[in-house]
Amino acid sequence: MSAWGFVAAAYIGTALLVGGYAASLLRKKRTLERGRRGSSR
Amino acid sequence: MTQQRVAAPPESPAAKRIPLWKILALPTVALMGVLVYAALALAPEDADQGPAQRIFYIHVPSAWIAFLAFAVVFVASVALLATGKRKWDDRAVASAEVGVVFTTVVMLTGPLWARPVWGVYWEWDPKLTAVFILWLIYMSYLALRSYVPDPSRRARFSAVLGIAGFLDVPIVYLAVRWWRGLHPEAVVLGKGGPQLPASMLQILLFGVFTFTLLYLVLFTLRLHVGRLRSAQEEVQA
Repeated sequence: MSAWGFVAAAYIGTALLVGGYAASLLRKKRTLERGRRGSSR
Repeated sequence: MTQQRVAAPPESPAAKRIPLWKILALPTVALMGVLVYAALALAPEDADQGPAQRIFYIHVPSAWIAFLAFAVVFVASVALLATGKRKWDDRAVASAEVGVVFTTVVMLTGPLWARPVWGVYWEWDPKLTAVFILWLIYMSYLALRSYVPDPSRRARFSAVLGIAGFLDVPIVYLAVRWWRGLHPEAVVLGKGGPQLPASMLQILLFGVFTFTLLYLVLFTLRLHVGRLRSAQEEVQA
């Protein structure tokens, strides 16, 4: 792999890791808010 | 059989305010785009390391965020033990989780930078070993929480680990000075001030600023999710 390949892997890997974590938090938030709205009905 | 539902607690005025993560999310994503462009297209190429050195602009800010996150865990853990208030435990666990994510980024980007420069992905060098131990400590911190069902005992046990675990942060930082290894010394806060050209330093500092915003977004979002979960547990109890 060329040096640019390692650079791309580092940047894409970081985006996937941090983006994946943020997406999982947003999914949990949505699920919990839906449950909360459901229980208040 | 009739289904019974318990009314959710009314929202406090604070809950109606626009949360910080919502305010900062879009500007942070935009700034991250600018950072990637600056790091990959604007930054000068390093004469010795070539393109691989561009990993520096995400590796160093990630390490800074991991240190910041674990410092917040330390402060919140001390506050928890001093006051016993649950809000400090919520803050500590939110910061620990974000810290683990960024330590994982450090451990991903480090080997990808090391391979083209050192010829190996990993070496049991003192600094790398100390970072690996740091990652294990805070993974254990998060795992511990799922083994202690009582919230107040869980908070106290976690706080003790959050305080003890922070001792590894200065070891990670000073490992290069204390023991010689492959990892280079700090180039910004090292002895004799910044050791890199102004054009590289500016992009690095911009990266540190942008990653700090990213930490604030993820920390406050995780805090919000934690509060929603606690409210749900209270309703179900």
